[in-house]
Amino acid sequence: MVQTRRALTWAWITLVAITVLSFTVAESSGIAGDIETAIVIAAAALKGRVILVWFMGVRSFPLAWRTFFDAWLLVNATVIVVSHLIGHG
Amino acid sequence: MGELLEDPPAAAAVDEPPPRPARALPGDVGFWTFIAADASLFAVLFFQFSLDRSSHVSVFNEGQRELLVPLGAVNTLVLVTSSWQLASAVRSAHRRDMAKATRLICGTVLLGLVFAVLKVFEYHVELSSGHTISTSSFFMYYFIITGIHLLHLIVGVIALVVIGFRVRRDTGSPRELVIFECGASYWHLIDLLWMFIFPLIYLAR
Amino acid sequence: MEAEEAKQVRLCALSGALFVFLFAFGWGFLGRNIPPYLPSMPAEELAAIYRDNASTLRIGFALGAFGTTFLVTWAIGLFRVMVKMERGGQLLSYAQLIGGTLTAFVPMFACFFWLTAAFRPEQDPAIIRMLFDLGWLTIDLGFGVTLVQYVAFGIVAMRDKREKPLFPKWLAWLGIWIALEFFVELIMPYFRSGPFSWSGLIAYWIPFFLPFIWIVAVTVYMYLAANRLNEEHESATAVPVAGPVAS
Repeated sequence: MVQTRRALTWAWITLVAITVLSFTVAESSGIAGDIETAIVIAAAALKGRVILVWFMGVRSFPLAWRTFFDAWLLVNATVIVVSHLIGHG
Repeated sequence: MGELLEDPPAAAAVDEPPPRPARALPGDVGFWTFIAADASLFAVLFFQFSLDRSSHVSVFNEGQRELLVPLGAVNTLVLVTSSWQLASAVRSAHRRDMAKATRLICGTVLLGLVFAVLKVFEYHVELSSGHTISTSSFFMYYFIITGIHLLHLIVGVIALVVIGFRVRRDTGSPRELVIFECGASYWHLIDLLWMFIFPLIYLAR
Repeated sequence: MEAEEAKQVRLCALSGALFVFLFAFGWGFLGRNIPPYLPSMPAEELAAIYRDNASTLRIGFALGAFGTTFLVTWAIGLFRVMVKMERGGQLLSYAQLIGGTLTAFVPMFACFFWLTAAFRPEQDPAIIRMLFDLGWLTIDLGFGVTLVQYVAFGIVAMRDKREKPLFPKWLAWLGIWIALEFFVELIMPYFRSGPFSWSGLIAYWIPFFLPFIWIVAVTVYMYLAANRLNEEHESATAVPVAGPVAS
Protein backbone atom coordinates (compact mmCIF):
# COMPACT_ATOMS: atom_id res chain seq x y z
CA MET A 1 0.00 0.00 0.00
CA VAL A 2 1.58 3.28 -1.10
CA GLN A 3 1.26 6.19 1.27
CA THR A 4 0.83 9.86 0.44
CA ARG A 5 3.79 12.16 0.79
CA ARG A 6 2.06 13.93 3.65
CA ALA A 7 1.41 10.67 5.51
CA LEU A 8 5.05 9.67 5.26
CA THR A 9 6.23 13.07 6.45
CA TRP A 10 3.93 13.02 9.45
CA ALA A 11 5.06 9.49 10.28
CA TRP A 12 8.65 10.73 10.34
CA ILE A 13 7.77 13.75 12.46
CA THR A 14 5.97 11.47 14.91
CA LEU A 15 8.97 9.15 15.12
CA VAL A 16 11.34 12.05 15.73
CA ALA A 17 9.05 13.57 18.35
CA ILE A 18 8.61 10.31 20.27
CA THR A 19 12.35 9.70 20.14
CA VAL A 20 13.16 13.13 21.55
CA LEU A 21 10.51 12.82 24.28
CA SER A 22 11.63 9.33 25.20
CA PHE A 23 15.26 10.42 25.42
CA THR A 24 14.34 13.44 27.55
CA VAL A 25 12.35 11.30 29.97
CA ALA A 26 15.20 8.82 30.26
CA GLU A 27 17.86 11.44 30.85
CA SER A 28 15.91 13.40 33.44
CA SER A 29 16.71 12.24 36.95
CA GLY A 30 13.35 13.00 38.51
CA ILE A 31 11.47 9.95 37.27
CA ALA A 32 11.48 6.59 39.05
CA GLY A 33 13.22 3.75 37.24
CA ASP A 34 10.11 1.58 36.80
CA ILE A 35 8.03 4.37 35.34
CA GLU A 36 10.87 5.55 33.13
CA THR A 37 11.26 2.03 31.75
CA ALA A 38 7.56 1.71 31.07
CA ILE A 39 7.54 5.03 29.24
CA VAL A 40 10.55 4.38 27.00
CA ILE A 41 9.41 0.87 26.12
CA ALA A 42 5.85 2.03 25.40
CA ALA A 43 7.44 4.68 23.20
CA ALA A 44 9.41 1.94 21.45
CA ALA A 45 6.27 -0.07 20.75
CA LEU A 46 4.53 3.06 19.48
CA LYS A 47 7.39 3.90 17.15
CA GLY A 48 7.45 0.28 16.03
CA ARG A 49 3.79 0.51 15.16
CA VAL A 50 4.29 3.72 13.20
CA ILE A 51 7.05 2.07 11.15
CA LEU A 52 4.95 -1.04 10.60
CA VAL A 53 1.84 0.87 9.52
CA TRP A 54 3.22 3.85 7.59
CA PHE A 55 6.54 2.59 6.23
CA MET A 56 5.91 -1.14 5.85
CA GLY A 57 2.18 -0.89 5.11
CA VAL A 58 1.17 -3.56 7.59
CA ARG A 59 -2.52 -2.62 7.40
CA SER A 60 -2.74 -4.18 3.95
CA PHE A 61 -1.14 -7.44 5.05
CA PRO A 62 -3.07 -10.69 5.49
CA LEU A 63 -4.50 -11.18 8.97
CA ALA A 64 -1.90 -13.76 10.03
CA TRP A 65 0.94 -11.34 9.35
CA ARG A 66 -0.77 -8.37 11.03
CA THR A 67 -1.26 -10.58 14.06
CA PHE A 68 2.35 -11.72 14.02
CA PHE A 69 3.72 -8.18 14.03
CA ASP A 70 1.25 -6.89 16.60
CA ALA A 71 2.09 -9.84 18.82
CA TRP A 72 5.80 -9.16 18.28
CA LEU A 73 5.41 -5.58 19.53
CA LEU A 74 3.25 -6.64 22.46
CA VAL A 75 5.40 -9.56 23.57
CA ASN A 76 8.62 -7.56 23.39
CA ALA A 77 7.17 -4.65 25.34
CA THR A 78 5.57 -6.86 27.97
CA VAL A 79 8.58 -9.11 28.51
CA ILE A 80 10.93 -6.16 28.83
CA VAL A 81 8.76 -4.12 31.18
CA VAL A 82 7.79 -7.06 33.41
CA SER A 83 11.37 -8.29 33.76
CA HIS A 84 12.50 -4.80 34.67
CA LEU A 85 9.81 -4.59 37.33
CA ILE A 86 10.75 -7.91 38.95
CA GLY A 87 14.49 -7.32 38.69
CA HIS A 88 16.76 -7.67 41.70
CA GLY A 89 20.45 -8.10 42.47
CA MET B 1 -8.37 2.83 4.64
CA GLY B 2 -7.08 3.06 1.05
CA GLU B 3 -4.93 6.14 0.70
CA LEU B 4 -5.68 8.31 -2.36
CA LEU B 5 -2.74 9.56 -4.35
CA GLU B 6 -2.17 13.24 -3.64
CA ASP B 7 -0.79 14.26 -7.04
CA PRO B 8 -1.28 12.69 -10.46
CA PRO B 9 1.33 10.15 -11.54
CA ALA B 10 4.58 11.67 -12.74
CA ALA B 11 4.51 9.87 -16.08
CA ALA B 12 2.11 7.54 -17.79
CA ALA B 13 3.59 4.11 -17.37
CA VAL B 14 3.43 1.63 -20.22
CA ASP B 15 3.73 -1.38 -17.96
CA GLU B 16 1.74 -0.80 -14.80
CA PRO B 17 2.40 -3.42 -12.14
CA PRO B 18 -0.72 -5.60 -11.81
CA PRO B 19 -3.25 -4.20 -9.32
CA ARG B 20 -2.42 -5.48 -5.89
CA PRO B 21 -4.96 -7.84 -4.29
CA ALA B 22 -6.83 -6.53 -1.27
CA ARG B 23 -4.63 -8.16 1.34
CA ALA B 24 -1.09 -8.92 0.34
CA LEU B 25 2.48 -8.66 1.48
CA PRO B 26 4.56 -6.24 -0.54
CA GLY B 27 7.44 -7.81 -2.41
CA ASP B 28 8.03 -11.51 -2.27
CA VAL B 29 5.95 -13.62 0.13
CA GLY B 30 8.80 -16.03 0.80
CA PHE B 31 11.14 -13.21 1.79
CA TRP B 32 8.79 -12.29 4.62
CA THR B 33 9.63 -15.67 6.14
CA PHE B 34 13.18 -14.37 6.38
CA ILE B 35 11.98 -11.16 7.99
CA ALA B 36 9.77 -13.02 10.45
CA ALA B 37 12.65 -15.31 11.40
CA ASP B 38 14.97 -12.34 11.96
CA ALA B 39 12.38 -10.48 14.01
CA SER B 40 11.85 -13.62 16.09
CA LEU B 41 15.57 -14.01 16.72
CA PHE B 42 15.80 -10.49 18.06
CA ALA B 43 12.72 -11.02 20.20
CA VAL B 44 14.55 -14.01 21.69
CA LEU B 45 17.64 -11.84 22.26
CA PHE B 46 15.54 -9.15 23.96
CA PHE B 47 14.03 -11.86 26.15
CA GLN B 48 17.46 -13.26 27.05
CA PHE B 49 18.78 -9.80 27.86
CA SER B 50 15.77 -9.06 30.06
CA LEU B 51 16.00 -12.43 31.78
CA ASP B 52 19.69 -12.08 32.57
CA ARG B 53 19.24 -8.49 33.66
CA SER B 54 16.47 -9.37 36.11
CA SER B 55 18.95 -11.27 38.28
CA HIS B 56 21.89 -8.89 37.86
CA VAL B 57 20.26 -5.48 37.86
CA SER B 58 23.19 -3.56 39.33
CA VAL B 59 25.69 -5.01 36.84
CA PHE B 60 23.42 -4.00 33.97
CA ASN B 61 22.71 -0.53 35.35
CA GLU B 62 26.41 0.07 35.95
CA GLY B 63 27.25 -0.99 32.42
CA GLN B 64 24.50 1.16 30.98
CA ARG B 65 25.95 4.22 32.68
CA GLU B 66 29.13 3.73 30.63
CA LEU B 67 27.31 4.04 27.33
CA LEU B 68 27.18 7.11 25.11
CA VAL B 69 23.42 7.53 25.25
CA PRO B 70 23.20 10.78 23.25
CA LEU B 71 25.11 9.09 20.43
CA GLY B 72 22.55 6.29 20.45
CA ALA B 73 19.74 8.84 20.33
CA VAL B 74 21.33 10.56 17.34
CA ASN B 75 21.61 7.18 15.65
CA THR B 76 17.92 6.61 16.30
CA LEU B 77 17.09 9.86 14.52
CA VAL B 78 19.44 8.92 11.67
CA LEU B 79 17.75 5.57 11.22
CA VAL B 80 14.13 6.78 11.29
CA THR B 81 15.05 9.47 8.78
CA SER B 82 16.63 6.86 6.54
CA SER B 83 13.45 4.77 6.68
CA TRP B 84 11.42 7.83 5.78
CA GLN B 85 13.66 8.43 2.77
CA LEU B 86 13.35 4.82 1.66
CA ALA B 87 9.56 4.72 2.06
CA SER B 88 9.45 7.87 -0.07
CA ALA B 89 11.71 6.15 -2.59
CA VAL B 90 9.32 3.22 -2.86
CA ARG B 91 6.47 5.66 -3.32
CA SER B 92 8.35 7.40 -6.12
CA ALA B 93 9.08 4.08 -7.79
CA HIS B 94 5.40 3.16 -7.71
CA ARG B 95 4.66 6.47 -9.38
CA ARG B 96 7.37 5.71 -11.97
CA ASP B 97 9.60 8.61 -10.91
CA MET B 98 12.78 6.54 -11.01
CA ALA B 99 15.14 9.50 -10.88
CA LYS B 100 13.67 10.65 -7.59
CA ALA B 101 13.58 7.10 -6.27
CA THR B 102 17.29 6.73 -7.02
CA ARG B 103 18.10 10.00 -5.25
CA LEU B 104 16.14 8.92 -2.19
CA ILE B 105 17.86 5.54 -2.13
CA CYS B 106 21.19 7.39 -2.15
CA GLY B 107 19.98 9.41 0.84
CA THR B 108 19.06 6.23 2.66
CA VAL B 109 22.44 4.66 1.96
CA LEU B 110 24.25 7.76 3.17
CA LEU B 111 22.29 7.85 6.40
CA GLY B 112 22.94 4.14 6.84
CA LEU B 113 26.65 4.81 6.52
CA VAL B 114 26.39 7.63 9.06
CA PHE B 115 24.80 5.17 11.49
CA ALA B 116 27.57 2.67 10.90
CA VAL B 117 30.33 5.22 11.37
CA LEU B 118 28.81 6.53 14.60
CA LYS B 119 28.40 2.97 15.85
CA VAL B 120 32.00 2.07 15.11
CA PHE B 121 33.11 5.23 16.86
CA GLU B 122 30.97 4.25 19.83
CA TYR B 123 32.58 0.80 19.93
CA HIS B 124 35.99 2.42 19.76
CA VAL B 125 35.21 4.58 22.78
CA GLU B 126 33.91 1.61 24.77
CA LEU B 127 36.83 -0.61 23.86
CA SER B 128 39.30 2.16 24.71
CA SER B 129 37.70 2.44 28.14
CA GLY B 130 38.44 -1.22 28.61
CA HIS B 131 34.97 -2.62 28.05
CA THR B 132 34.92 -5.76 25.93
CA ILE B 133 32.57 -8.61 25.17
CA SER B 134 33.91 -10.43 28.24
CA THR B 135 33.73 -7.49 30.67
CA SER B 136 30.28 -8.35 32.00
CA SER B 137 26.96 -9.84 30.98
CA PHE B 138 25.76 -6.39 30.09
CA PHE B 139 28.64 -5.68 27.72
CA MET B 140 28.31 -9.13 26.19
CA TYR B 141 24.74 -8.29 25.21
CA TYR B 142 25.66 -4.71 24.26
CA PHE B 143 28.32 -5.72 21.77
CA ILE B 144 26.48 -8.77 20.44
CA ILE B 145 23.00 -7.29 20.04
CA THR B 146 24.16 -4.00 18.57
CA GLY B 147 26.83 -5.89 16.62
CA ILE B 148 24.40 -8.28 14.97
CA HIS B 149 22.16 -5.28 14.26
CA LEU B 150 25.10 -3.44 12.70
CA LEU B 151 25.89 -6.45 10.50
CA HIS B 152 22.28 -6.49 9.37
CA LEU B 153 22.58 -2.79 8.58
CA ILE B 154 25.77 -3.22 6.56
CA VAL B 155 24.15 -6.00 4.53
CA GLY B 156 21.18 -3.65 4.07
CA VAL B 157 23.42 -0.85 2.81
CA ILE B 158 25.05 -3.18 0.27
CA ALA B 159 21.65 -4.44 -0.85
CA LEU B 160 20.37 -0.88 -1.27
CA VAL B 161 23.41 0.11 -3.32
CA VAL B 162 22.75 -2.81 -5.69
CA ILE B 163 19.03 -2.01 -5.75
CA GLY B 164 19.80 1.67 -6.37
CA PHE B 165 21.71 0.80 -9.54
CA ARG B 166 18.87 -1.44 -10.72
CA VAL B 167 16.26 1.24 -10.04
CA ARG B 168 18.32 3.80 -11.93
CA ARG B 169 18.57 1.43 -14.89
CA ASP B 170 14.77 1.16 -14.82
CA THR B 171 14.03 -1.85 -16.99
CA GLY B 172 10.36 -1.42 -16.13
CA SER B 173 9.94 -5.07 -15.25
CA PRO B 174 7.53 -5.70 -12.35
CA ARG B 175 10.11 -8.03 -10.83
CA GLU B 176 12.40 -5.04 -10.16
CA LEU B 177 9.70 -3.46 -8.05
CA VAL B 178 9.35 -6.71 -6.11
CA ILE B 179 13.08 -6.77 -5.39
CA PHE B 180 12.99 -3.11 -4.38
CA GLU B 181 10.09 -3.69 -2.00
CA CYS B 182 11.89 -6.66 -0.44
CA GLY B 183 14.95 -4.51 0.15
CA ALA B 184 12.83 -1.72 1.61
CA SER B 185 10.99 -4.12 3.92
CA TYR B 186 14.32 -5.45 5.14
CA TRP B 187 15.58 -1.92 5.83
CA HIS B 188 12.42 -1.01 7.74
CA LEU B 189 12.96 -4.15 9.80
CA ILE B 190 16.42 -2.87 10.73
CA ASP B 191 14.80 0.37 11.84
CA LEU B 192 12.05 -1.48 13.71
CA LEU B 193 14.60 -3.56 15.60
CA TRP B 194 16.56 -0.48 16.65
CA MET B 195 13.38 1.07 18.07
CA PHE B 196 13.57 -1.62 20.77
CA ILE B 197 17.33 -2.08 20.98
CA PHE B 198 18.01 1.56 21.86
CA PRO B 199 15.63 1.90 24.83
CA LEU B 200 16.29 -1.65 26.03
CA ILE B 201 20.05 -1.34 26.21
CA TYR B 202 20.63 2.40 26.58
CA LEU B 203 17.62 3.82 28.42
CA ALA B 204 15.57 1.38 30.48
CA ARG B 205 16.57 1.25 34.12
CA MET C 1 12.94 -37.53 -14.69
CA GLU C 2 12.55 -41.18 -15.63
CA ALA C 3 10.80 -43.57 -13.30
CA GLU C 4 13.97 -45.37 -12.22
CA GLU C 5 15.76 -42.18 -11.25
CA ALA C 6 12.66 -40.84 -9.52
CA LYS C 7 12.61 -43.97 -7.39
CA GLN C 8 16.26 -43.46 -6.45
CA VAL C 9 15.62 -39.82 -5.57
CA ARG C 10 12.74 -40.85 -3.37
CA LEU C 11 15.05 -43.26 -1.55
CA CYS C 12 17.64 -40.53 -1.17
CA ALA C 13 14.97 -38.26 0.27
CA LEU C 14 13.98 -40.88 2.83
CA SER C 15 17.61 -41.35 3.79
CA GLY C 16 17.40 -37.83 5.20
CA ALA C 17 14.85 -39.08 7.69
CA LEU C 18 17.20 -41.94 8.50
CA PHE C 19 19.97 -39.47 9.31
CA VAL C 20 17.66 -37.46 11.56
CA PHE C 21 16.58 -40.57 13.43
CA LEU C 22 20.06 -42.09 13.87
CA PHE C 23 21.67 -38.81 14.86
CA ALA C 24 18.89 -37.76 17.24
CA PHE C 25 18.88 -41.17 18.89
CA GLY C 26 22.62 -41.84 18.83
CA TRP C 27 24.26 -38.47 19.31
CA GLY C 28 21.33 -36.74 20.96
CA PHE C 29 19.80 -39.25 23.33
CA LEU C 30 22.48 -41.87 23.96
CA GLY C 31 25.25 -39.31 23.62
CA ARG C 32 23.61 -37.15 26.28
CA ASN C 33 23.60 -34.04 24.13
CA ILE C 34 20.07 -32.75 24.49
CA PRO C 35 21.11 -30.39 25.94
CA PRO C 36 24.90 -30.70 26.09
CA TYR C 37 26.98 -30.21 29.20
CA LEU C 38 28.09 -26.65 29.79
CA PRO C 39 31.60 -25.62 28.77
CA SER C 40 32.02 -24.48 32.37
CA MET C 41 31.53 -27.97 33.81
CA PRO C 42 34.57 -28.99 35.88
CA ALA C 43 36.77 -31.67 34.33
CA GLU C 44 36.29 -34.13 37.21
CA GLU C 45 32.50 -33.94 36.92
CA LEU C 46 32.61 -34.47 33.16
CA ALA C 47 35.05 -37.37 33.46
CA ALA C 48 32.81 -39.00 36.08
CA ILE C 49 29.84 -38.78 33.69
CA TYR C 50 31.90 -40.37 30.92
CA ARG C 51 33.09 -43.13 33.25
CA ASP C 52 29.60 -43.89 34.55
CA ASN C 53 27.93 -43.88 31.13
CA ALA C 54 30.71 -45.14 28.89
CA SER C 55 28.66 -47.99 27.36
CA THR C 56 25.76 -45.85 26.15
CA LEU C 57 28.06 -43.03 25.09
CA ARG C 58 30.16 -45.37 22.95
CA ILE C 59 27.29 -46.82 20.95
CA GLY C 60 25.60 -43.41 20.83
CA PHE C 61 28.53 -41.65 19.20
CA ALA C 62 29.26 -44.61 16.94
CA LEU C 63 25.68 -44.55 15.67
CA GLY C 64 25.76 -40.78 15.40
CA ALA C 65 28.90 -40.89 13.29
CA PHE C 66 27.48 -43.61 11.07
CA GLY C 67 24.17 -41.76 10.71
CA THR C 68 25.91 -38.84 9.01
CA THR C 69 26.43 -41.13 6.01
CA PHE C 70 22.84 -40.45 5.08
CA LEU C 71 23.44 -36.72 4.84
CA VAL C 72 25.51 -37.65 1.80
CA THR C 73 22.81 -39.73 0.14
CA TRP C 74 20.34 -36.96 0.93
CA ALA C 75 22.52 -34.34 -0.75
CA ILE C 76 22.85 -36.55 -3.82
CA GLY C 77 19.08 -36.87 -4.16
CA LEU C 78 18.68 -33.14 -3.71
CA PHE C 79 21.35 -32.59 -6.38
CA ARG C 80 19.38 -34.58 -8.95
CA VAL C 81 16.27 -32.51 -8.23
CA MET C 82 18.17 -29.22 -8.30
CA VAL C 83 19.67 -29.84 -11.74
CA LYS C 84 16.10 -29.98 -13.03
CA MET C 85 15.52 -26.46 -11.65
CA GLU C 86 18.85 -24.80 -12.45
CA ARG C 87 19.79 -23.84 -15.97
CA GLY C 88 23.21 -23.23 -17.45
CA GLY C 89 26.34 -24.56 -15.75
CA GLN C 90 24.45 -25.80 -12.69
CA LEU C 91 27.17 -24.49 -10.44
CA LEU C 92 24.87 -24.03 -7.47
CA SER C 93 23.59 -27.60 -7.77
CA TYR C 94 27.18 -28.79 -7.49
CA ALA C 95 27.76 -26.40 -4.60
CA GLN C 96 24.87 -28.01 -2.72
CA LEU C 97 26.14 -31.50 -3.50
CA ILE C 98 29.64 -30.82 -2.27
CA GLY C 99 28.60 -28.61 0.63
CA GLY C 100 26.05 -31.18 1.67
CA THR C 101 28.53 -34.05 1.42
CA LEU C 102 31.19 -32.24 3.43
CA THR C 103 28.51 -31.33 5.96
CA ALA C 104 28.43 -35.02 6.87
CA PHE C 105 32.07 -34.95 7.94
CA VAL C 106 31.66 -32.26 10.56
CA PRO C 107 29.39 -34.12 13.00
CA MET C 108 31.12 -37.37 11.99
CA PHE C 109 34.51 -36.26 13.25
CA ALA C 110 33.01 -34.54 16.26
CA CYS C 111 31.46 -37.90 17.20
CA PHE C 112 34.88 -39.57 16.77
CA PHE C 113 36.35 -37.16 19.34
CA TRP C 114 33.61 -37.79 21.89
CA LEU C 115 33.83 -41.51 21.19
CA THR C 116 37.54 -41.36 21.98
CA ALA C 117 36.77 -39.81 25.36
CA ALA C 118 34.22 -42.54 26.07
CA PHE C 119 36.64 -45.24 24.89
CA ARG C 120 39.07 -44.70 27.78
CA PRO C 121 37.17 -42.62 30.34
CA GLU C 122 39.41 -43.62 33.26
CA GLN C 123 42.22 -41.41 32.00
CA ASP C 124 43.15 -37.89 33.18
CA PRO C 125 39.96 -35.78 33.44
CA ALA C 126 41.74 -32.90 31.75
CA ILE C 127 42.22 -35.07 28.66
CA ILE C 128 38.57 -36.15 28.74
CA ARG C 129 37.55 -32.53 28.86
CA MET C 130 39.85 -31.53 26.01
CA LEU C 131 38.33 -34.23 23.79
CA PHE C 132 34.88 -33.02 24.80
CA ASP C 133 35.83 -29.41 23.96
CA LEU C 134 37.32 -30.58 20.66
CA GLY C 135 34.08 -32.29 19.70
CA TRP C 136 31.98 -29.21 20.38
CA LEU C 137 34.27 -26.72 18.73
CA THR C 138 34.39 -28.99 15.67
CA ILE C 139 30.66 -29.52 15.33
CA ASP C 140 29.89 -25.84 15.87
CA LEU C 141 32.58 -24.19 13.82
CA GLY C 142 32.34 -26.45 10.79
CA PHE C 143 29.22 -24.65 9.60
CA GLY C 144 30.78 -23.11 6.51
CA VAL C 145 30.07 -26.05 4.23
CA THR C 146 26.51 -26.30 5.49
CA LEU C 147 26.07 -22.59 4.80
CA VAL C 148 27.14 -23.23 1.19
CA GLN C 149 24.67 -26.11 0.91
CA TYR C 150 21.66 -24.26 2.28
CA VAL C 151 22.30 -21.00 0.42
CA ALA C 152 22.94 -22.77 -2.91
CA PHE C 153 19.72 -24.72 -2.47
CA GLY C 154 17.78 -21.60 -1.46
CA ILE C 155 18.86 -19.66 -4.53
CA VAL C 156 18.08 -22.45 -6.98
CA ALA C 157 14.74 -23.27 -5.36
CA MET C 158 13.76 -19.60 -5.49
CA ARG C 159 14.59 -19.36 -9.17
CA ASP C 160 12.49 -22.35 -10.19
CA LYS C 161 10.47 -21.09 -13.14
CA ARG C 162 7.62 -23.56 -12.80
CA GLU C 163 4.20 -22.13 -12.18
CA LYS C 164 4.10 -24.10 -8.97
CA PRO C 165 7.74 -24.35 -7.88
CA LEU C 166 9.04 -27.69 -6.68
CA PHE C 167 9.94 -26.11 -3.35
CA PRO C 168 7.98 -23.25 -1.73
CA LYS C 169 9.78 -19.93 -1.56
CA TRP C 170 9.41 -19.70 2.20
CA LEU C 171 11.36 -22.94 2.57
CA ALA C 172 14.15 -21.55 0.41
CA TRP C 173 14.33 -18.36 2.44
CA LEU C 174 14.10 -20.22 5.75
CA GLY C 175 17.10 -22.35 4.78
CA ILE C 176 19.10 -19.25 3.93
CA TRP C 177 18.15 -17.65 7.24
CA ILE C 178 19.10 -20.75 9.21
CA ALA C 179 22.46 -20.88 7.45
CA LEU C 180 23.15 -17.22 8.23
CA GLU C 181 22.22 -17.77 11.88
CA PHE C 182 25.12 -20.24 12.05
CA PHE C 183 27.44 -17.24 11.98
CA VAL C 184 26.70 -16.73 15.66
CA GLU C 185 29.01 -19.73 16.26
CA LEU C 186 31.93 -17.47 15.44
CA ILE C 187 31.62 -15.87 18.88
CA MET C 188 30.71 -19.08 20.67
CA PRO C 189 34.34 -19.81 21.72
CA TYR C 190 34.33 -16.69 23.89
CA PHE C 191 31.74 -18.05 26.29
CA ARG C 192 31.77 -20.78 28.92
CA SER C 193 28.13 -20.17 29.83
CA GLY C 194 25.13 -18.17 28.72
CA PRO C 195 23.07 -18.05 25.54
CA PHE C 196 26.09 -17.81 23.22
CA SER C 197 27.98 -20.77 24.66
CA TRP C 198 27.80 -24.17 22.92
CA SER C 199 24.94 -25.18 25.23
CA GLY C 200 23.08 -21.87 24.99
CA LEU C 201 19.82 -20.83 23.40
CA ILE C 202 21.38 -18.95 20.52
CA ALA C 203 24.39 -21.19 19.79
CA TYR C 204 22.78 -24.58 20.42
CA TRP C 205 18.98 -24.78 20.45
CA ILE C 206 18.39 -22.63 17.38
CA PRO C 207 21.24 -23.91 15.13
CA PHE C 208 20.57 -27.57 15.99
CA PHE C 209 16.80 -27.85 16.06
CA LEU C 210 15.83 -25.55 13.22
CA PRO C 211 17.99 -27.42 10.67
CA PHE C 212 16.41 -30.71 11.73
CA ILE C 213 12.94 -29.32 11.09
CA TRP C 214 14.13 -27.80 7.81
CA ILE C 215 15.70 -31.08 6.65
CA VAL C 216 12.43 -32.90 7.31
CA ALA C 217 10.47 -30.28 5.34
CA VAL C 218 12.91 -30.40 2.41
CA THR C 219 12.74 -34.19 2.52
CA VAL C 220 8.97 -34.10 2.06
CA TYR C 221 9.17 -31.71 -0.87
CA MET C 222 12.09 -33.64 -2.39
CA TYR C 223 10.03 -36.83 -2.31
CA LEU C 224 7.06 -35.08 -3.94
CA ALA C 225 9.37 -33.38 -6.45
CA ALA C 226 10.63 -36.76 -7.65
CA ASN C 227 7.04 -37.73 -8.45
CA ARG C 228 6.31 -34.42 -10.13
CA LEU C 229 9.48 -34.57 -12.23
CA ASN C 230 8.55 -38.09 -13.28
CA GLU C 231 5.09 -36.86 -14.33
CA GLU C 232 6.67 -34.00 -16.27
CA HIS C 233 8.85 -36.52 -18.08
CA GLU C 234 5.89 -38.80 -18.80
CA SER C 235 3.76 -36.03 -20.28
CA ALA C 236 6.66 -34.66 -22.30
CA THR C 237 7.44 -38.02 -23.88
CA ALA C 238 3.87 -39.31 -24.16
CA VAL C 239 3.08 -40.79 -27.56
CA PRO C 240 -0.11 -39.26 -29.00
CA VAL C 241 -2.89 -41.79 -29.62
CA ALA C 242 -4.86 -41.49 -32.90
CA GLY C 243 -8.02 -43.28 -31.84
CA PRO C 244 -10.00 -43.44 -28.62
CA VAL C 245 -7.75 -43.53 -25.60
CA ALA C 246 -7.18 -47.05 -24.28
CA SER C 247 -7.88 -47.31 -20.56
